[in-house]
Amino acid sequence: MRRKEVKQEEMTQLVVFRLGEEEFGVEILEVQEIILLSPITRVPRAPEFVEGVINLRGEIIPVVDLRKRFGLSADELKDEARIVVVDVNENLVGMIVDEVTQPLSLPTSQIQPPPPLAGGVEATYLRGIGKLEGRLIVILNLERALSASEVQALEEMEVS
Amino acid sequence: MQNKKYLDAYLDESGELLERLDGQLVELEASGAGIDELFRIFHTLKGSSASMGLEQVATLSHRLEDVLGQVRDGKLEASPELVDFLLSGADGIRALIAQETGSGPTFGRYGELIEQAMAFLGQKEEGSQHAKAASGLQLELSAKEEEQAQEPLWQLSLRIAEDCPFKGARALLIIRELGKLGKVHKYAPASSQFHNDNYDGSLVAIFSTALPHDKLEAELESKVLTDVTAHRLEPYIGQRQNRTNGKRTNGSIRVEAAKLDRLLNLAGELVIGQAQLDRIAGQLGDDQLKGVAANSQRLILDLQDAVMKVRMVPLESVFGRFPRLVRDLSRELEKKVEFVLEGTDTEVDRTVAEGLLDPLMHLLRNAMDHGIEQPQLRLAQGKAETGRVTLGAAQEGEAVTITVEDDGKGIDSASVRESALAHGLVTEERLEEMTDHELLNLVFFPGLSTAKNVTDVSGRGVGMDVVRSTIESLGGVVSVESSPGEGTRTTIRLPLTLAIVRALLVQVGEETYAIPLSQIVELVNVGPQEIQNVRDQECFLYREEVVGIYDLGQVLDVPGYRPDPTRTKRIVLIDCGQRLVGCRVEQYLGQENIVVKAVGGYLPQLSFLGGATILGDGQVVLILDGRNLVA
Repeated sequence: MRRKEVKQEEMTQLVVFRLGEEEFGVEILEVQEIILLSPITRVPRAPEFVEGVINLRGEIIPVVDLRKRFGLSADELKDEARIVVVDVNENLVGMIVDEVTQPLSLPTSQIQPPPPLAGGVEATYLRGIGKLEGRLIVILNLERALSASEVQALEEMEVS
Repeated sequence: MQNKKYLDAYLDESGELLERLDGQLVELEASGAGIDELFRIFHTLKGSSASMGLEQVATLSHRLEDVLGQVRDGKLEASPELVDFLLSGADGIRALIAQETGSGPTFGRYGELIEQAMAFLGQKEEGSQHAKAASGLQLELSAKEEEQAQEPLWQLSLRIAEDCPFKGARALLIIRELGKLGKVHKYAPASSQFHNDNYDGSLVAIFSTALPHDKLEAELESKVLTDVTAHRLEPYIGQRQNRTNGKRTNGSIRVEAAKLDRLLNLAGELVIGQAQLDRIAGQLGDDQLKGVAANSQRLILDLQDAVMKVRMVPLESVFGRFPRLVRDLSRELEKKVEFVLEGTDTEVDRTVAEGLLDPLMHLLRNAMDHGIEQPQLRLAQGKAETGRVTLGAAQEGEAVTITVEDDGKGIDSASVRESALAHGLVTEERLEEMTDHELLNLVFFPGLSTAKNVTDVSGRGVGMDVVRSTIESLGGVVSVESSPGEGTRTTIRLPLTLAIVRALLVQVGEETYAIPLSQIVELVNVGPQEIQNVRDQECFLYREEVVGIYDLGQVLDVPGYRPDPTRTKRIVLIDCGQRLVGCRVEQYLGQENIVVKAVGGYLPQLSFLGGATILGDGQVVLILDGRNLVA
């Protein structure tokens, strides 16, 4: 029994994607699917980082541009660009990313708490930094990165 | 407690019956009508509660039914006190059901209610002794026999006079005479008993007849009931009537609302799929395919229509609760009120009907509390002593209009003004510009109440704004008109349905938007010379009303949008309830049935958005809520 426990080291499975030059990851359980870029309908009076809404097989879901969200430089989207559809508090949200690399299994012990700033992103939006074979993967805290403060920002916008 | 499935069905049924009960009781007090219906309600409650093992509910229902029997037999008068008692009895049944099913606190007034019932009955006990003796005989029809009855069924219990020498022969004669009025289905005792010397002269018969109640009574008195000391006539309530709440239905069934919602969603998806098919058929130019597409379009529209109709419920389900509310309020406030319901058969979507309950209740309370004056005051002002409150509904095209009207004192626009200024809702400057209509409609703003006395009933400074926001969440608009001393009318305009709406597609710049037809008053083209500028706001005259023009492209910050000031403006005139707003668009793209979808919970509620829809080509188009487009 004991041996087995040692063997089964806790692993974190990540979907890894690229925003500009940085690699980001989100937990695979939070990702519903990854789709090609599809036509986006702009939503007036929404915050800048909300690109609009898309039709996901008959469901309408909002799409955000993470690069704008984190204030990263935003290059023209190329063919590799994808929309990563994630589930945040039972709401589906699409995130535009420059490229989805590959899913990754990382020993949880290899994830360190985030420094104040990683990949140009503030620590409050991060779950940690994953290290694997010299790569640094910035793991997002989706709930924070997409939810609370954003919704607040949106609500403030609505009021004003 | 039994199986949950049965319990749910019971709660459904008894809830519905109790809902009808209040209205029927108020009706009984007002006009003395509907007593048979009341009987059926109590009878069904009694039966179904007993079968669920809810003894107290069954017993209380039974006692109330007995009291009602005295009213029907003319032995008790449907006085306000008696109706009060029956209403509190209905409340008691509700509370007992809640208690027994664990959804409410222990109900402590059961014994008291039973005692009251006995008191009502006790005073009249003597008169019914004989009829009671006769009804000791039990008769019941089989389901098949019931089905064979073409006319309403009645049960007659009687006792032949002691001094009648040939009781058996008299009984046979009575059966024969009864047969001339209709059809006798069953009677007791059996005719062989009639020849028995010990026959005591009691007789029970179940018969069907087309004669109305009063006529039947008269015919019985004059032709049938010779040598009879006591009799009792009541509608026969059998198994079948029990099951269908006494109404003959064309084989209706109960369906869970969630299943209907699912059906509607599927129909909605089909509409979208159909639009795609249409588009492709058009592109390919294949006549055969076009034919198939056109055919399936017709079928899908029929299907959609049918599904929508299934979800529609008559407003009676909501309105029916109010007669009691008005009655209780009028007694509490010591005001005399005639309550009139109109258009109760107008149908709306289930969701709309449910959402209407609270706002209407609030408006009626307002009408009773702040509208209708005390009787002396009304008389002093040369008005009829009894006030009038009307709740009406009517369908107008894609919309349903509901009005709450009273002939009370009206809204004092001066105090609206005062209050609006005091609460800083508007500037004095702005007030100067307002029309009377606009001024009155400030009552829908949060925090404004003109009521001088805060009463229990209404006037706490909350309410009208909640009415407005509730109606708006149902996709409707609300406005108020009033003339001092003459009364107030509140008008609610609602879309017929929520899920699939007919909408106008418009284009501004590169973007397409949908505006529900229920919000649109008219499409007008306005030439540059008709446009005036009032304080930097473009306006035009529409039927003598100054209507502001707002450029949709600018309101929505459409990228790259450049209005052309020299061109005729295409204006979509939108009804915001309190006022009209002219919305300038570049193109009308035509009307379409669109399926309303939520924009997802992640985005907070943007008030100018009424959702989104997916067009045939898969494009997502936002649905505008014209009422909140401009502040």
